[in-house]
Amino acid sequence: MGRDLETIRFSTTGTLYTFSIVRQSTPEFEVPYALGYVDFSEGVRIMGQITGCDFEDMRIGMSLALSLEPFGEDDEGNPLTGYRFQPCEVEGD
Amino acid sequence: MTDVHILGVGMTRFGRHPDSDAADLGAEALLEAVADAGIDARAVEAAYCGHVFQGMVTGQRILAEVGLAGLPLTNVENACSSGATAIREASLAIRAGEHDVVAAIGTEHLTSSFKGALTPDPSDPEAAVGATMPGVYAMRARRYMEEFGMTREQLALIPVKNKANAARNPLAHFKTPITIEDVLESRPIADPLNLHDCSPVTDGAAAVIVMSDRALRKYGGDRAVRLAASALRSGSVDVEPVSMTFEPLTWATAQDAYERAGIGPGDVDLAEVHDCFSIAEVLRVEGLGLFEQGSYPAAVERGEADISGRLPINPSGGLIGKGHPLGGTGVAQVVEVVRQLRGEVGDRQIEGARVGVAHCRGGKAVGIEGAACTVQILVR
Repeated sequence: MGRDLETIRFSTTGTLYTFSIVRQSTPEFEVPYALGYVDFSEGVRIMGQITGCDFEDMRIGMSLALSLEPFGEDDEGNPLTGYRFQPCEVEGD
Repeated sequence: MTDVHILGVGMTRFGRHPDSDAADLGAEALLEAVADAGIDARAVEAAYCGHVFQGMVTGQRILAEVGLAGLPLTNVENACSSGATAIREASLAIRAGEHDVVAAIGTEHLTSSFKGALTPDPSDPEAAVGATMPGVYAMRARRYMEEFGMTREQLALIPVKNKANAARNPLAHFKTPITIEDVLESRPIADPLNLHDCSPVTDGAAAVIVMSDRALRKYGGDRAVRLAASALRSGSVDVEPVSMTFEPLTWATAQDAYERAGIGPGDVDLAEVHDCFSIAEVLRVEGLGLFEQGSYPAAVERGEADISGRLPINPSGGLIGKGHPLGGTGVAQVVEVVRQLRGEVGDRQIEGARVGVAHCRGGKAVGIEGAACTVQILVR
């Protein structure tokens, strides 16, 4: 128990654990979009949108890389940057 | 310590109620539960009211509406387990010896609170990247298909079963049976889930009257059903990624309930489980230990979960068929189990049912497997 956490740097590529094509969402999201859980070798699973891949080509187990992309605006109209995942070639461990 | 008994149950029709609000619905259910118990409403000593989006003091508005204002009243929010948690709190008040007769109410006027897909709280980091509840369950469905070979048609059989059951339930939101083709051709929501895989936006309320041994002796009780266990857990933090095709939270809560009741999954005659989505029913019944992991889709295909089957699941129609007014859901499940055990449900009656389970699970918070889970065991 506690709130003492440390920041660690982890790899920017992982594998797709599972995914869905979301076709109905809240108004701030344009549908359809691909949503997935990506597993990283450090033992972390992160949810994010997947871009740069045709929906039909998505497969559980595919390799994905983190990418920083524009992600809408905040309440005052300032651009936000968020993370997404894109298909990538496996570079080995 | 006293046992806890349910003597009275009530529930509104589930569906759209444009001319009522959550308090009106809760009041209707409460009055029916009191009448069903055959007690004077003034015998009720305290009340708990579960709801999610109905705002402050909805429970007090219900009591005011039925002339019971003044009782100790606690509003309970625990996402989709809110109503079930209200029953647990009522049972604890009885077990503690503080009260002898307590009402538990669950209500939600969801059509005026929400449209479209339910999403996690906006502060949730996963909501910020586009997580919706259908999306999360769709991902679990896809993973389950990958691991256990479940087909899309097998998954579709769950809404087909539940809407067939709902068609036999006069209080259900949906009255029309559907086919596998209807499920597969319905509007895609989050692949592989379509509209018929999802529970609807529903208004409704339900209530139960729980009491102690002493009160049961006073009021007489050959219609009483014993609440043998009412277990609650919150999800633990996932330090490492865990399987999304099995529910440790449901499993752990069920173990608490089975241990308390002295009953195992093999003794269960029916279960109402939290089928907010078709895949959810699979994960629930396997987490409850009622079916082996990976085996449920084929069991449904063989008819084992039908009302006439080996172990009927969601005879009321479940959330998918009967409807899912968040706060009302957990109480309505217990209402169904009580009525089944009393033999009062007409053509959806499960013959000889003696032990029933009600399972709820709700809410989402990043990093934990699930927010609130309840498992209640009822015995007659």
